[in-house]
Amino acid sequence: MDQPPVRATSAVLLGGTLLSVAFLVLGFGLSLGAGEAQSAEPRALAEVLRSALALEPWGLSMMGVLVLLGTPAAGLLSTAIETRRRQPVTAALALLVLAILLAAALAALAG
Amino acid sequence: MRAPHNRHVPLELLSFVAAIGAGAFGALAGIGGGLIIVPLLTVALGVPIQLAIAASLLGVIAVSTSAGATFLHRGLVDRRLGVVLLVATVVGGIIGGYTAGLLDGRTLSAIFGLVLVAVAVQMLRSRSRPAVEEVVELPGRLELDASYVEPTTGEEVAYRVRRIPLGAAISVLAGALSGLLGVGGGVVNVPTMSMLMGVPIRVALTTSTYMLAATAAASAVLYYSRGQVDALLAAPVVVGVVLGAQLGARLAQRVPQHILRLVFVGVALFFAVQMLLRAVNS
Repeated sequence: MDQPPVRATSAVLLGGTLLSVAFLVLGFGLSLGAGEAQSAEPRALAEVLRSALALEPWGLSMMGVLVLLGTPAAGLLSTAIETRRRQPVTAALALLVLAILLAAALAALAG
Repeated sequence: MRAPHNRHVPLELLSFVAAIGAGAFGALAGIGGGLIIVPLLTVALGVPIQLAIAASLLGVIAVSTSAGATFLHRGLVDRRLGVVLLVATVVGGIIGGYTAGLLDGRTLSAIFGLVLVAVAVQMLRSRSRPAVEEVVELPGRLELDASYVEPTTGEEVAYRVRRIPLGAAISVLAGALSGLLGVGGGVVNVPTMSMLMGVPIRVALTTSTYMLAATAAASAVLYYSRGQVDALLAAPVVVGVVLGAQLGARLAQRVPQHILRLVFVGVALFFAVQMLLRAVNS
């Protein structure tokens, strides 16, 4: 049976995990050194970016969380691209799952 | 909402160590590490259960993406089946995430514990039956033919995925349990694929692992939107889980299928008792 390639999706999933873990390791390590709790409340992306660029443990950790949350979505997009020719139904379903995820995220963050 | 401040360092270090073990088991059994991490954080360390569930869901995503990438690269994931069932589990995850907190926790714990007992008993009873039915006819409209190379023998194993609509319906439940309890959903997905749909246990485990990320992400976004993601708690959990998952992914290549099945049954029974005790004691 002629199977569609998997290399890109595998790389996206692994790359997203590694990038996320890199942020989380930095945040984890710096938080141990800081020894003091950081604010956990702000959720705006601009605040996360500011905190991460300032090398604050919370911002770096939250960047890791956001990358991690985005990795499955990126994997679905990659799956759709890889399977679009040999398994078009799989590609369409991957895009459907991606659309459901994005709609739920937007609705949650807006509400 | 935050984890207890005065215990941050021991909490993070203990979470890190526990997450390594949970990640290894999650990748090996295809159920994620949530069933271990959530009780540890809430019962032993006093973390609010919402934060523990959110950290657990992030750990589940990390296990799924890292181990899933490995399984996918080695040709052990049935991606067609995984994407079909993802439609159902993601919808279930959103339903579970939204309804979390609205339903009585004791009732949910009791139901989940009983479901786990039923699954474990059914898995034990199915040991004498062949996992894969012989493929002799063309697949029906709602059936899928697939194959994989069993790593312990090097043989190509052909199988036919059956009862997809019923499997998808049950997968909604798996997603809802994930969103409600912070677990991966593999405790439902693996036996559903293995026993109901005719998928070999190894492919069921690896495909379940591959599916867990999107399912958990659907729920985790809801916790994030409610301000229940403590990034400083999530960091050691996720890092530990990823390290453990790499170990588990390697072990899964070497452990025979009947061992995987027994491990799964043992873990399901252990957590069934845990859930029932939570229902009685809370």
